[in-house]
Amino acid sequence: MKKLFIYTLLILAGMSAFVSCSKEEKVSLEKENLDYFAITNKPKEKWNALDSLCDTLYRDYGVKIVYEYTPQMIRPNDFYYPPAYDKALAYTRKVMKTLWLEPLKKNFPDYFKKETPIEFILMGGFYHGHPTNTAIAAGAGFNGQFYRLGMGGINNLDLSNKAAVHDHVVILWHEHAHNQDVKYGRGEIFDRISVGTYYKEAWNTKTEAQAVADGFFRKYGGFAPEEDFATTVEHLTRFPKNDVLTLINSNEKLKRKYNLITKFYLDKGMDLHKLQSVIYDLIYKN
Amino acid sequence: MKNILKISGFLSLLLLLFASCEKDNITTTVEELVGTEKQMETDLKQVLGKSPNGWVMMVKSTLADTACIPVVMQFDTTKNMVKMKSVYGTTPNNKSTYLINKGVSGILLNFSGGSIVSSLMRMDRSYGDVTDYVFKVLAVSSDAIKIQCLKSGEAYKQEGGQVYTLFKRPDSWKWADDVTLLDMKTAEAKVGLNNVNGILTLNYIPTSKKVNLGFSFRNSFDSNLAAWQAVDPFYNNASANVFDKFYIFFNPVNYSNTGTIQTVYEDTPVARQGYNALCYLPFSGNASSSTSNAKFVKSIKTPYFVINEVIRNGTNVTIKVASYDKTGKEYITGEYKNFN
Amino acid sequence: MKKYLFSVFIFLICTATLSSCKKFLNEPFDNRLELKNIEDYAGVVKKSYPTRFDLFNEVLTDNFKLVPNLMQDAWKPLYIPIYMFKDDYQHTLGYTSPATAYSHFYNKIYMANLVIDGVLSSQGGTAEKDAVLAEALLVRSYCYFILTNLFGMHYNPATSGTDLAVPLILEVNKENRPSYSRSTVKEVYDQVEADLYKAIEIYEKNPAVVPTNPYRFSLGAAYAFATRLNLYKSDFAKTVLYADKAIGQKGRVLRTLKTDYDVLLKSGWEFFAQQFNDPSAHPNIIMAVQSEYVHHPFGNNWGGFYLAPEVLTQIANNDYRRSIASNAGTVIDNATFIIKNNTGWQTSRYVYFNMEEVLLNRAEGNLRGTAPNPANAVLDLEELRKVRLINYTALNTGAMSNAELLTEVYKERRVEFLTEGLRWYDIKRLGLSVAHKMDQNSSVIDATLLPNDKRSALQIPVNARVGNPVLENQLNPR
Repeated sequence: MKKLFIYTLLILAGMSAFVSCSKEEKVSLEKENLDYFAITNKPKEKWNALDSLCDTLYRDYGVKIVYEYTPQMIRPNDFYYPPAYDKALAYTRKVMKTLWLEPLKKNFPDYFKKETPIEFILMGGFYHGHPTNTAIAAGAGFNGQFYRLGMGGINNLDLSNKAAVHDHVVILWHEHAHNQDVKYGRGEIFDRISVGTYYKEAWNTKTEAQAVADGFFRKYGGFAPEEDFATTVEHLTRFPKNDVLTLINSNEKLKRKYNLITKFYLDKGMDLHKLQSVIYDLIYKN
Repeated sequence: MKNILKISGFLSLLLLLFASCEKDNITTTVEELVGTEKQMETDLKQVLGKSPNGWVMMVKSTLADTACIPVVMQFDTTKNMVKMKSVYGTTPNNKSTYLINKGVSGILLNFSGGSIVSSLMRMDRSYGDVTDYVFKVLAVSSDAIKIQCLKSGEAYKQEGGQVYTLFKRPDSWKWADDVTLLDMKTAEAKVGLNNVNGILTLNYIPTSKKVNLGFSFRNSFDSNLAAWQAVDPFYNNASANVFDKFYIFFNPVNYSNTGTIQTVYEDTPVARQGYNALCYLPFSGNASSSTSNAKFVKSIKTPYFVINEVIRNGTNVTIKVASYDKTGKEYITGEYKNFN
Repeated sequence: MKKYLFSVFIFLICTATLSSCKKFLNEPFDNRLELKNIEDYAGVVKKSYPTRFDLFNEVLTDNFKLVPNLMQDAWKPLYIPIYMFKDDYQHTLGYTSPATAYSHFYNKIYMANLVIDGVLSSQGGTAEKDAVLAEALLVRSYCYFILTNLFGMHYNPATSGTDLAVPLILEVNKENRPSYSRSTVKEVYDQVEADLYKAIEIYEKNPAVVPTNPYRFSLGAAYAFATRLNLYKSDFAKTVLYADKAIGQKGRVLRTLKTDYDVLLKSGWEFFAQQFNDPSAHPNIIMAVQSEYVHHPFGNNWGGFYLAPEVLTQIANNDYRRSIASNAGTVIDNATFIIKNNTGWQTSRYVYFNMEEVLLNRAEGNLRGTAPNPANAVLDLEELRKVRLINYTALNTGAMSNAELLTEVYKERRVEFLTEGLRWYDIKRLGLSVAHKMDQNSSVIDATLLPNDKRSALQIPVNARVGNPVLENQLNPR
C-alpha cells in the first residue's frame, strides 16, 4: 500500500514537473503592467500652461511639482483632494516660484542644493482619514518623508491676503523642518529638554502663554518632540530676530532649543533669521 | 476487505485529482488581456472626444429615488482638459485635467485635477454617490462609456463603488449649452421674477401625473450674502472648494395651489443657483434649507430643476424646467409662469 | 612469540575498548544533564517560569484602538484578525499570540512536571526538596490558570463542569505520541487550586527555604496568586483573606509614580522604560519575569494599537499615569501609548503580580462579599489614588453607594493595569462587551464582542491540533 502510494506520488510529481515546464514559455507581461498602477508621463504636446510652468521650475530648481493625482501618487488609506486648476496655477507662480524656490536658491545656494525636496505635492484641501468626515484635520501630511514635501489648503488660500500668504509660507518651512528632522534626526539632546512634559493630545487646551512658560514656542509644539522641533523652526521663520532673542531670554528651555536649532540649520547653510527677513520683505515690501 | 476499501478510496481520490486538473483550464492568455486593454484605451481616447456636446454622468442623491443629478463633461482630448457643468453651482473658468491611467486591473479614467467629481467625492451622499475621482473603465462603445468608482468609500471598504453609464449629451438639453439662460445673481434675471407671484406646473412623465405649486423668487439673502457664503458646504470645505461662492435665494412655495396664481405661500425652500439650474440640496447652517428643502425635495421628488428655456414677453415670464432619470430621459418636465 | 605478543595486544585493546564502552554508555549520549540532586531540580524549576506570552490579550480588550498606518505591515496578518475576534490569525510562533502562548505555557508545564515527578526522590534535604516541589507546583498552577482563562470560558460554577478548558497534563509523557483531550474548566480550576494550596502549605511549613527572589514564587507571590484566583472564582471572602496575607508578607507598599516620572524628566524615556518594572527599585512588584525581547503590538510607536479614546478620558489630567504616556505619529493620528514593559531589544521585563492588584482585588472583595466592608475598600482605593494623583484630593466616598465605589475600583483597575494583560480577564469575568473599529474616523463598528461571547474562549490553536486529532472534535463553538 505504502509503496503503491509513493510510486503514484512520484509519477504525479514527474508529470506535473513536465507539464509545468512546457507551459512556462507563454508567460510574457508588458513591463509597464508589472506595477500595480503604471506611471505615465504626459507627452509634451498635451501640456497645459501649468505643466509648462512646472517643467520650467523642474529645470531651474529640480523640484517636481505635482498638481494632478494618479492612484500611485496617493496613499490608498488616506484621502487627499487635488487642487482646482486655476488655483494651482496661481499658487505655483506665486508661492512655489516667487516665495519659496527663487529666494532659496538666491540667498542660500548651499542649503538649496542639498536640502530641497525633489517632489512637492499641491493639495486642494487638507489631509482626511475618511472621505467625508467634517472634522477639519489640517496638516500638510507629507512631512515625514525624505524627498517629498506638500502643502494643503491651496483651494482656500487667498493669494491677495498678505497675512494669509505669510502664514502659509512660514508653515511650509515648518513642514520642511519635519523633513529635516526625519533626514538628520533632531537628536536625543533636543528630546531631553522637555521630556515627560509634552501635552500630547491635550495641547489644544493650553494657552500660548502657558506653552511659552512650559518651554514651547507654540502650544502645538507641546504635542510631541517632532512638533516641538518644527514649531521652533517655524517661530524663527515667522518673527524678527530681536523678538525671538527677547523671548528665548525669558525661558531656559526655549533658549536651549533655540541654540540647538540655529546650529542645526547653520551647519547646513541656512540662517533662519535671514530667511525670516527675506520672506517678510518679499511679501510685505513688494 | 479493509485493504480493498483503502485502495479503492485512494483510487477515487486520484480520479478526483485528475478530474479537477482538467477543469482548471484558463483559456485567456496574458497577451489577449493586454490586447483587450490596449483596445479599450484607444477606444476610450477616441470616444471621449467624439461627443462635441460632452458626456453626461448621472449622479444619484440619497434624497430622490428616480431623479438623478446630471454632470456634463466636455473633453478636450488634445490637452487632456475637461470642462464640467452641473446643477450644483457654477465653476470659475471651468477647467480641470483628466488622465487615462493604467492599472493591473484595467484602464482608469482619472479626473486627476480638482473638479466637480473630486468635490462630490468629498461631500456626503445626499449630494451624490461619487466615492472616488478615479474610475475603472468597464466598457466603451460609441454611445456609452461604463465606468465605476475605484474606491467605494472609506479606506477599509471594498474596492469598486457605483457604476455609471455615461451617455452623449442630448441636444434637447439647452441648459447645458454655453449660453446663460437664467442667473438670479444678475439684476436683469430678477426682473419679473423677484417678489412676483407665480405658478409652477410639473408633469411626471412615467405616471402622467400633474402637480401645481404656488411658486415665487425672493432675494432675501442679498443683504448679507458674504456671511451666508461662509456656510456654503463646498466653499467652507477646502477639499471640495471648486465652485464659485454660491448665490442663494428663496423659492417660496404653496403646496395646495389650485391652478391659478395665489399670494400665499406655505414654506420657503432655499435655492442655490446652478449652471442654468436651481438646486435644492439642503445644507447645514441654514435652518430653512435643512427643513424646508428636505420637505420640498421629497414632495417634488427631485433635488433640482434644470432650466431649458426662458421666454420673456413683456412682463410675462415663462421658464421651462426639467429633471432627468438615471438614463438622462425626462422624468419631470415643468413650466413656471408669472401670469395666469 | 610474535604471535603470542600480538594476541596479548589484541586482548588488551579489546578489554580497553569494552571497558571504556561501559563508561561511555553510563553517560548520556549528548552530555545532557541528568536530574539527580536537589540542585538539578532547583535549576529546572528556575528555568520553568513562563514569559508573559499572554499579553497579546490586550488587543482583544476595549483598552486599544487600531491605527493601521502606525503598524508594521508584517504584524497585520497576526494582530488584525485577533483584534476582530477571529481565529484565523497568522501562526508565527515567537510573536505574542494565542498560538505562541499555548505552546509556551505547555513547555513550561512540561518542565514543572519533570520536577514534580522526580524531585522527592532526588538527593537532598527534605525541606529543600519540598520547597522545590512547591515552586514547581506554583509554576504549573499559574500556567494552567492562564491557559484555562485564555482558551476556556470564564469560570462559572453553573457551567464549569461542562465548559471545556485545556488538556490537563500532570505527568511527564513517556509514550511515543500520546493524544490529549480537553478537560473541563472545573477540572482545571480544581487542579490549579490543589497545586496552589499544596504549595502554600509547604511554604508556610518551611519559611526558611522559601525563595525570596522577586523573579520567583515567594510566599507573598503565592498569596497574590491566590487572591487573583479567588477573585476570578467570585470567592470574595478568600480574596480578602489572601490579600491580607500577601500584604502581611510585604506591607502595603505601592509604586510612587512620581518617582518614576522624575526619572523620566531626568534621564529620558529609555532609562525610564528600563527601570519601570525593576523589582529592586519598585518594592510594589511582588513577582516579575525577565525574558528575551518579546514584541507587543502596543506600548510603542510602531505596533499599531494605541489607547482607546474611552480609556484616555478615564485618566484625569492630574494623574501621573497620563504623564507616562507618549504619542506616536502626527497630531492627526491621535495615537497615545504607555510604555511599561520595554527594556530594550535584548530583554523585556514583565510583572506577574504587584501590590496594586492585591489592593484592588481586596477592595473589590470587600465590596462584593456577603458582608461588604466599604470602609476598608475606600482605604485601599485612596491609598492607591494618593500615589497616582498630582495634588491628591480624596473622593467624596461618604456619599457613594457600594455600586458607585465598585465603579471607581473598576476604573482604577482599568487604568492602573493598562498593557499588563489583566483587562481581558476582567472583561470575561464581568461580562463586558467590546466594540472594535477598523477605521477610527468611521462610525462603523466592525467587530463586537458581546457579554459572555463564545469568542471570549479563544480557539485551540492550529499548532496544538496538528497531530492531536482529539482536539479537532473539541473545538470551541463559534
